[in-house]
Amino acid sequence: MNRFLTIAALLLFSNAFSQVKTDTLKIEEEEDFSQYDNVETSSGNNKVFCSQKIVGLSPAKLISIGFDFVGAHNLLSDTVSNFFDYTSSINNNTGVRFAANFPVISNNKMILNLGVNYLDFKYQFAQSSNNLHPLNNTLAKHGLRSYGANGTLFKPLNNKHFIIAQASFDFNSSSKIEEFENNTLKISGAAIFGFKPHERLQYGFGVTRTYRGGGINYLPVILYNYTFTNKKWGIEMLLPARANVRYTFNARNLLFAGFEVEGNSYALNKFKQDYNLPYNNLQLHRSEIRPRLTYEFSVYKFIWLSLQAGYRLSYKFNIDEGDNYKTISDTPYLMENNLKGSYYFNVSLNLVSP
Amino acid sequence: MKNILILVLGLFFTINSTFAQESETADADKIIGVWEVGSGKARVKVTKYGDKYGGKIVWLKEPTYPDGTKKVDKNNPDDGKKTTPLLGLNNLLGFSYKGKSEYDGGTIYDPENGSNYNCVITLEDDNTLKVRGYIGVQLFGRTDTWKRVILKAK
Repeated sequence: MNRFLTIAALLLFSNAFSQVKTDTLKIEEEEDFSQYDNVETSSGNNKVFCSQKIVGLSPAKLISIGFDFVGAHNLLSDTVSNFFDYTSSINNNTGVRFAANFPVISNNKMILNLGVNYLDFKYQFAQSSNNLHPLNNTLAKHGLRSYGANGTLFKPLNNKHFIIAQASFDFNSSSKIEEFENNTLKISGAAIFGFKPHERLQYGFGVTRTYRGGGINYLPVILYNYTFTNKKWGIEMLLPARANVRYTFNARNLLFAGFEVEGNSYALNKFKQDYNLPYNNLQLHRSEIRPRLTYEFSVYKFIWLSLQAGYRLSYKFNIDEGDNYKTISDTPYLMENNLKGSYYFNVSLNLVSP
Repeated sequence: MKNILILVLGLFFTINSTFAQESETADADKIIGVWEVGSGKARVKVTKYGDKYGGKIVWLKEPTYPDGTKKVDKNNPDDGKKTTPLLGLNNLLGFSYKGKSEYDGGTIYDPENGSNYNCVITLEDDNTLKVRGYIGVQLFGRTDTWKRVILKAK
């Protein structure tokens, strides 16, 4: 027993001794900060890389779950095969949106985000399905779906220049994912060379392969993010996709006024199969412009709520064989439908980035 | 005789343990010093308090607002802290040394948005810190590389 007590006493003593040493250290409260003006790095020059953000920029969304509601509007569906054109009323068009982005590499020299997204749009028609045009019937019965994966690379070259490269792989169709065919895959991407002259401005120029106009297209792209000196106002633009004026109540309450161009091409294999249509690759070219107001705020730490309301203007809701973008000089679309505009709102819950 | 042997063995283990602890303490204390953040906009002095490590902002590239007044922690969600000067602000708190050059259990505060993040720090070499702020799980985070700076004599 004595042996154990002797050893225990010695061990305790040694631990207590080391505790006393550490507990006496404190962070100094007052000091002369000017002594930190002149320093040298211990390993030569510390190369500084610009960050992907500017001061005041709205936080990036890591995980987002949203609900979209578009109010009543009409759809004039064009003649196709032996079906005549037909105007029907849509009571509402609802959508569920989910997106997740994982910063798999995130450091001073590189940020690589990998993400997934899911969209599911449903169309609620006023008329019964027996009276609907086959396109409307397809939309009412199956809706439109998109399953996607994407990657975005931000690579700073130094403290003033950076490169952004982005690629997306989306499977868009009226079918369920297990019924998807090769023509549902849509590949888009962008590459931007950017400048960051100071902490309140970044801009860049590049090219994009995009479906936002409905069909596949190659366009110049302009990035412009700016925060005014008062830090209250700012601009966040990625043209032609979106542009917003930002007002900052405080770092956790932001208001935006702007627009977004949203679009894609959807393989309508169900449309073709259900009505025996004599075409190989029917694609719905959907594109819309959404002028809107958005209010985003922190509900708890990094969980933010986004409330958005605006008007949905349909730019294109046409059907063609293939998903190539058409200019005026090209042959007309197979079906030139007319989807009317309507008010809309969107609410989403988001986990935002540090 | 037996008792003497036990006492000697006990002393050996105690001394050994003390040396091991001192060696670990010396390793752990390598984080102490002044570090420049990746953007070059701030310098942070890391010190030890109790058995924890923490740090405070001791230098800012732009220490004042355009009107000449000193920058304060105006984005802090706590109204009572909005007027706290950024210079001297404790932005690293509660780090414990876990061995293998890693410090965890602490938080890092970002005055640009008034948010606290979980944080893990790795001493990559004597002059380089990898500081990873994250939300909940380390996957949702960002690593900043800090470099040690040495004060020049005035």
